[in-house]
Amino acid sequence: MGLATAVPAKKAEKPLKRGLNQIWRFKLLYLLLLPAFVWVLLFDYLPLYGISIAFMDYNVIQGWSGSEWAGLKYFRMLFESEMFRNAFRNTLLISLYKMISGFVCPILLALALNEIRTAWFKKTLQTAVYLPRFVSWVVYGGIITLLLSPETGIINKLIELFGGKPAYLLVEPAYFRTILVVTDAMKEMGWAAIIYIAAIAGLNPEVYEAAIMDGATRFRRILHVTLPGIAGTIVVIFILRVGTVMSAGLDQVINLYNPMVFEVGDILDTYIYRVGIEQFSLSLAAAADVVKGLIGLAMVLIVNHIAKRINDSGIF
Amino acid sequence: MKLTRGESVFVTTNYILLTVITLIIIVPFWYVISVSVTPYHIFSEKNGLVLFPTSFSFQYYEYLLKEGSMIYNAYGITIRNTVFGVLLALILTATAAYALAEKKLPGRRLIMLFFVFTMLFKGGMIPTYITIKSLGLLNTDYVLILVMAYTAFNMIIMKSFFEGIPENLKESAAIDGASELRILWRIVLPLSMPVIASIGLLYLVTYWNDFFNALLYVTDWHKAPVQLVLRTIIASSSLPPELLEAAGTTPPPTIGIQMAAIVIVALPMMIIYPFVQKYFEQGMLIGSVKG
Repeated sequence: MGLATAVPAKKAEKPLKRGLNQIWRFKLLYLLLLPAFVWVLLFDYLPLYGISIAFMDYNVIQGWSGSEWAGLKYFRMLFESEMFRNAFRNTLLISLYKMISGFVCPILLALALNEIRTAWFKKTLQTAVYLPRFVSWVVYGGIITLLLSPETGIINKLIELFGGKPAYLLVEPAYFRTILVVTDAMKEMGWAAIIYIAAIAGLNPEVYEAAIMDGATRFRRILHVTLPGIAGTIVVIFILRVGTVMSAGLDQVINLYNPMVFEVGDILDTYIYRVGIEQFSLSLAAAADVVKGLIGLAMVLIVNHIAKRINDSGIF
Repeated sequence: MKLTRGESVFVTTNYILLTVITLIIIVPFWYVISVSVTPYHIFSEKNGLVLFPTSFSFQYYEYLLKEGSMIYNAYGITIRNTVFGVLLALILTATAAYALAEKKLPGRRLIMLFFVFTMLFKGGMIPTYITIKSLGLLNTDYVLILVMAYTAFNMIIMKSFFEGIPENLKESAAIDGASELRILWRIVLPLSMPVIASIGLLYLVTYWNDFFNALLYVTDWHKAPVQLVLRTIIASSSLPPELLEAAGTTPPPTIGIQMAAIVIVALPMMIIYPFVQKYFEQGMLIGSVKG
């Protein structure tokens, strides 16, 4: 990252004037920065100040000025709450499962697509697997619900066809996480594969030719040429994913879950939403926000540190 | 080139496997469309297995799109939010990115830190909600346009693209007496169409598909975008009366209405994405270069 030419702090008066002149010279650029600056101030920094309500007995009617400080009361309440601990555990578990499937599937898909030599076929497949990325989780959740419905869902028909017993899969705690992981992979893997497809396309063809000369089969070529070739990309994507470990997919969960599966499906974000917006315990929910944010921050910093050691290029 | 036996097995398996995966992803969409145009008695006769509709009925669509239906209002709101939202988002993102791409800008590092810090640590759902509330934005016409109008990540992508534009192009324009604004408008932006298009499209999808911000900040039904209305239609087994104000008729079975509503809400994106896909791909790639 290029360094800013900070105002040179040499001798007195003149340099100051020169510095101001320098700043004045860029007045238009500062003006251009202003709209985004104001936005970030209002919608990113004001909420940071809003965190204070986690340490208050926040009362909506009295607002900030009228509410009493409560210290760590709400944090204590959180960690004593079975529901919070549950949401915390679910967040980590679901995130972890998704990290594995949502990370491996796109790589495999990209590798497989790369072996398709028929151009139109490849293009068609690619366009088709992108589709779910372009619909909202409201839409996709609605589709999944239809597919899994007990009376009419096509999945149950298939289960019956193979002699199984139909079930209302979405209210079965035993299946809920699997459903989350599978549908997440279905929705995102096509799109997530793009980066790997591009990375593969950028590999040196000569290496492949050499491998062919050495008599490497296609499978061996994938294993020994393609995969090592895109290893750098894989590492970067993996790091980015680890950084989001505390967000297990709010949009998806809120559109698929129901009270029957809270025990296995409730994540921090849905917990915060329920407690804060639906039950209006704003301070308690804000405290959960803080816990989530701090752990997320720690994850990003740790992962970035590791990244810098591995390939000398952290994300920031 | 002749394939060895092992290779042809590999190739065939690969073709079959990919076709199956693609079908698993695509068929649900097809199935929803099928259900939405199949008359209910046939749907229940066939136990829901209507992958290929044999007879058609558009009663669900007619019901949803009846005169005075809430859908029109919600659609109008979504379109308004998307159009103004994408415009505003592009302006905010591009101006900030352009200014920060200038390496000589005094204080650049500090300003950059200000802009990037919130990528690492955010206030979270509830503090943001409280902020929006105290700003008096709850339930306003522009709250959804405003809250999604800037993403630090997109700004960084754009900034790194702007940084790639040759310095001397800008310098020679400056020597010719062009102002910064003119340089941005006449030189930088035209050269940056790929990144503008792809980030604009990213914002487009965000705005069109947003429901969670709407869920948080909009409680007045007359201000709800389509995703929120759809969510209510899907979540409730019986349709809420305030959604479909055309009274007097008994509604057709809910499942068909739900599927038709899904199609109505998702269709615009499903139609445009194959055409704009290449810009999205560029966007992803521009983003990934930065890593």
